[in-house]
Amino acid sequence: MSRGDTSIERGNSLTIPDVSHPAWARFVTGKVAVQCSKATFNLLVHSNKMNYERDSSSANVKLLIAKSHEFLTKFQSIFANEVATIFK
Amino acid sequence: MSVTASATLHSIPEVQAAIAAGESLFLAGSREALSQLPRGNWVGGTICYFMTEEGGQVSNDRIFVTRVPAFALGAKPASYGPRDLAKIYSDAPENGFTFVVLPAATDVLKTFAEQAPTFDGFLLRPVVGWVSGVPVDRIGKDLPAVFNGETGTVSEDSCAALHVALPANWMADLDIVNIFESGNGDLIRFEKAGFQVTDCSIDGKPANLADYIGANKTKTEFPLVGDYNGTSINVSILSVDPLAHVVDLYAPVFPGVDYRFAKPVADYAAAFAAATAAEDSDPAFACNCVLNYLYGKLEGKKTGHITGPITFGEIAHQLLNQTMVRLTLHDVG
Repeated sequence: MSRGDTSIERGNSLTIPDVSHPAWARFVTGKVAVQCSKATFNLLVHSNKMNYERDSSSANVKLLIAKSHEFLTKFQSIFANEVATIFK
Repeated sequence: MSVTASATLHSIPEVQAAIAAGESLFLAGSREALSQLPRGNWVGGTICYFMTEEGGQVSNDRIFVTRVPAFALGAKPASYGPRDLAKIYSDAPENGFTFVVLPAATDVLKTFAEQAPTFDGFLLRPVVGWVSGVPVDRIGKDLPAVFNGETGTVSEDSCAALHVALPANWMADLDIVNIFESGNGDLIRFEKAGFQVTDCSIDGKPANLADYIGANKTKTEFPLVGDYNGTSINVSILSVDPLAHVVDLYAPVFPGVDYRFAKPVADYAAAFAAATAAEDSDPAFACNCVLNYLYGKLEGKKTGHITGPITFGEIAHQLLNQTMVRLTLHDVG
């Protein structure tokens, strides 16, 4: 295997806001539009949208926030621009 | 930094030697070729179509090899049926990815296609792979299969997975290359999820999809394109029965998704080459769809620099059709 440069930066660590940040609810309920060139992020947004349309209870919103927080914490180096858009 | 793969076709003795050397492999080849391999740390599936450095190729006696990178912490084969398929996520490593191969036209593929987005771990634990098949002139005569090299089993009704754990500084990233985009035609929506559809709504009015395709003489080599927050996800047409008013699909449609038929693509090879021309590194794994190979007449043609099996369905988190899938491994430091 050989190696090559990509747009992913080494050591690019962000501070992901806690689940209590109000932007999370806006994000998972679709009130803030964030599009990305990568399918994985867009599948997350779509999944949240479908899930919220099925069940808009506060308990479900909390669950969607928890899942989105876990996802963006794990993949923050890939989706740094999207995180910035969500919390701007 | 990211790793790039020199994945390509190898002879059976070369693959036998790699297995004997203890390498962890994700393999694609004919049933005859894969059946000649010893037990070891590998999984694979049946297919005889490949995109290679020389272009699209058919081979029954060579095997496409994707090596698990040496820096991986481990690679564990596993098999799952429809009932325990959700375990593919709970068995996956905290950091890493899972290669999967599922046989075409089976309950385990149907379960994955319809339910994967509901499983705990979906998106969080990347699952990438493909759907095994048979030569197109053997469809309906032979069965697609998957192989678990660790147990030495061949299965026509379960899937094979290879869970790959990565060090904390490495990140698995899945992406797709879709040469199709939504056309300017009517908006199509469905009330129920499924691989077989009758009723739908077209621009908000009740309709039957088979009747619509017949009345509009729609070219069914071009897929339905669903809008997933701006990402185009294809659903390809398997068959249209105008008498029964039924359309069978290669992947399920879902309620809540806006679909349109794709804009026609004239030159598939050029479209893929253009879509991947700007890439500065090759993926660790890639695959492309046999429908693109057939409709685009890709035998002998290059689709850019990316190599991999040509498959009966592609997996990047969920089942896709007529799409190139790519796994990239990034060193995030």
